[in-house]
Amino acid sequence: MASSGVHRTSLIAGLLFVVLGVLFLLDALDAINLKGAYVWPVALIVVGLAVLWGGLTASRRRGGEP
Amino acid sequence: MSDELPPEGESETPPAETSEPEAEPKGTAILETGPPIPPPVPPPSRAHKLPLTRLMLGALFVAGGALWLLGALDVVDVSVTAALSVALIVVGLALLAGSFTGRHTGMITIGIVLTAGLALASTFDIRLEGGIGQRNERPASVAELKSEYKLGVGQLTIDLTGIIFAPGTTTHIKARVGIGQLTVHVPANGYVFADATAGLGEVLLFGRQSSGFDVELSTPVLNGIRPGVSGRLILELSVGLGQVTVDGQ
Repeated sequence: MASSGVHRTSLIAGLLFVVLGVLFLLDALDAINLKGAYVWPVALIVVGLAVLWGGLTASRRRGGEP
Repeated sequence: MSDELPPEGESETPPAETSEPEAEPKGTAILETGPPIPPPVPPPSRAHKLPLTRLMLGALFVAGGALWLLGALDVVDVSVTAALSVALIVVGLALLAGSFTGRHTGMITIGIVLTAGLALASTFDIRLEGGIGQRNERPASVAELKSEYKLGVGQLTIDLTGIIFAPGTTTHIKARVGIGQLTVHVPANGYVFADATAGLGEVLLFGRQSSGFDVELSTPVLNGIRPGVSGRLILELSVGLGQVTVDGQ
């Protein structure tokens, strides 16, 4: 998963954690109101996108059609 | 932990043949063509790759312990959810920086655990601030009242039965428990508006009961309607995980 010296998984996970951390911090400080009704569907979407991304990149590595 | 340094390689190369082969008897010419000797394997690189996961975990423990200690000493009042959010940001930044040095599975695991905990806390509106334990508040007058009472985990009881709320006045009180039980006793003839919520649990409001996820009960009507006799008391009560009880005594 490394390309041009950057490990893509670590990069994406790092970006995701920073964004989520900022959102949770704003929620803890009452600047925004994160509701469970939004958190879990978004989490499911993110997990789904990660699975799709993993499947596509694995397929490309093998040289097959996605 | 993939970012740990590999064990020191045992890459000893086979000793090179230095001795001269024994002289063959005259008249015989034997050409030996054995398998080629593989080139010596270089020892694993001992580059300065820091064990980021261990460093991060250690730093998080030290920072968490320090904040906990400062909170116990009443030096600072730190919200656990805010502290965990900052920890998640730090883990993310460390991953961004570490993405140039390879995979860091351990740190990704830490980030996932933090995210799951924060998502759960956010779902049930669990605010872990204000300490842990059992606390009984029994203010004797309006002057002794706090505008907000908080407890992270445990049982918080606020007894307002000893207070006389002067007619024509409005007193606003907020109380929040992260995980546990919140009980408020109000004067039986009080002029009370109460709004109580529980992320997951039960709300008991002057005998009315509701339970489940994201529970909310409020008193649209006055409890003991005597607006001319008592001042108005407005209560905003919430529990992340647990029970809220309001009763008149």
